[in-house]
Amino acid sequence: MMESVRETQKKYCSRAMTAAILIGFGLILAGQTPMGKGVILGTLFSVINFILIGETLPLKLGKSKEKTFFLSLGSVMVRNLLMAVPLILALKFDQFNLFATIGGLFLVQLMILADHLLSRISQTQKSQI
Amino acid sequence: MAIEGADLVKAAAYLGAGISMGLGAIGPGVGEGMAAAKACEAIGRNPQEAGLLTRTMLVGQAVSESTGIYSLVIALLLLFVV
Amino acid sequence: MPYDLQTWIKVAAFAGGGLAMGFGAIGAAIGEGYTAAQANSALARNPGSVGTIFKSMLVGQAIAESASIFALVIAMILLFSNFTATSYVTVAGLLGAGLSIGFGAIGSGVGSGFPAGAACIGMGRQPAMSGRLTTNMLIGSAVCQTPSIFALVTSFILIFSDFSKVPVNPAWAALLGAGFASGLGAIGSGIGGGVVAEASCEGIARHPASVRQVTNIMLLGQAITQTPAILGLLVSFILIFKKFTATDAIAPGMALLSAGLCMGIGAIGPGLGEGIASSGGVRWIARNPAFTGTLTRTMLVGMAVAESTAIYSMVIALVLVFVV
Repeated sequence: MMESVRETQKKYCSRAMTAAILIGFGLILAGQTPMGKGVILGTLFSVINFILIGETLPLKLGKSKEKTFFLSLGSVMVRNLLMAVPLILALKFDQFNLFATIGGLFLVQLMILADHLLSRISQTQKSQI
Repeated sequence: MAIEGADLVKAAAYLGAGISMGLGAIGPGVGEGMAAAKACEAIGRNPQEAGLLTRTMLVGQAVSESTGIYSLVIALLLLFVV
Repeated sequence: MPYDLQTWIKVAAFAGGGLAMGFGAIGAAIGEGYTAAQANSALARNPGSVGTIFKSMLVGQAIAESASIFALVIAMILLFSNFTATSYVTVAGLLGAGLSIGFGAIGSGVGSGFPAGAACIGMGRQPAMSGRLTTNMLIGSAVCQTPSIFALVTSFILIFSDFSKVPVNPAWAALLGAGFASGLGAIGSGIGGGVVAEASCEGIARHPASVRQVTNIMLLGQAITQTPAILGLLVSFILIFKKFTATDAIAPGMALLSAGLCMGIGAIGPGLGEGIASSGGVRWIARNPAFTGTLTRTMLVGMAVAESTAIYSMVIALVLVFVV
């Protein structure tokens, strides 16, 4: 049952990482080194967060409602602490641009949305033909 | 900064007006939404009566709107009369 | 013991950061807990669909969590930046930024749990529709995040604006009010948008043939459900950018704080109510797609009436800012 989860994770994580590295190198070549580094740093933690979401999913099944709420709260807290790391790094060091890091943190989400929106548009075009 | 009685009364009246209108808007907002949801359900079951059902929905919503208008009146009273 | 300006700024930044992180995490946890509970009951019905349900829970949760990551971003900026300020207005600004994103993340977090839960139930019923259901759920919960984006914008403006030239007395109340207006105003729209998306996921699972109409009307309903949050954003922009004259009295400040509270609290009910109204419309369009036009008209009329109380709140808020 975890194969479909792994497959989805692999698909979106590799797409997000590729996009981040392309954008990052583009920015570094354009002379915006802190921005490029920030994007790559943010995306790295975004990917780790996405993998952790998948790993914590089976824990929540087969439990009572209160237990599920507290487990979700715990997992959100742990992942928030993890994602605080790149933000603190970006705030404390000038090597990383803060806003580029924030953008990087949402790259996996952007990849998921883009994938589904594109497939929806292509579906509606097919049904019209 | 000297605090005078009249100033304090005005400040309390302004705060009261805001809270009155704010809290007063919650009930009618939710209630009118429920009325509209039920009207959609009824039209979905019985589309021939759509006109009658929409009219009934509007009457029901107008009645539940009244408490929102009471809050508005109280807020305006607090702002301009007190 | 007298406290100096820097101490107060630290206190405000820590309080705002704590509020933002705590509320943001609680909203996301409520949404995720609801999704997991629905997934449990779907798996009890149809244990074979566990792969598809896990897959859609994974992507759904990644999108649903955006609001709590927004709150985390603001919390980290508040906790770990060095603010050098020359005026007490900054204290109110930092606190207002925390309030805005803290309250604003609750609605989106809770709301985006609803479509994810309904999609899980739907996949238990109709495993063949899982692709369309996942797409619909993702669009629905992405639109649910917009109120928290409005709150994020307000927080960024409150943190990064320069308030050193602004008169302290009425401005502190205006900035706190701005935080309340866009933060509280986002709660109703976030939850309401989730209710609409839940109805559409349920409807697609029941009647797969109606998927096109249902997704379109869901987007229309969600867009109108965002209007109370937009009114809240508007009032908070007015409160942030209006020029005030310095005063010694309390009343002008209280009027501005009250304007923010009035718009913020007043937007909760209409946001929720419009979501409920639109969910009724979407649910019955899915069952009876032949009457999409009639149902959409009634739904829009109902939503317009539910909007009226939000407009009363905005009128009172504008009177409080500009007239008294």
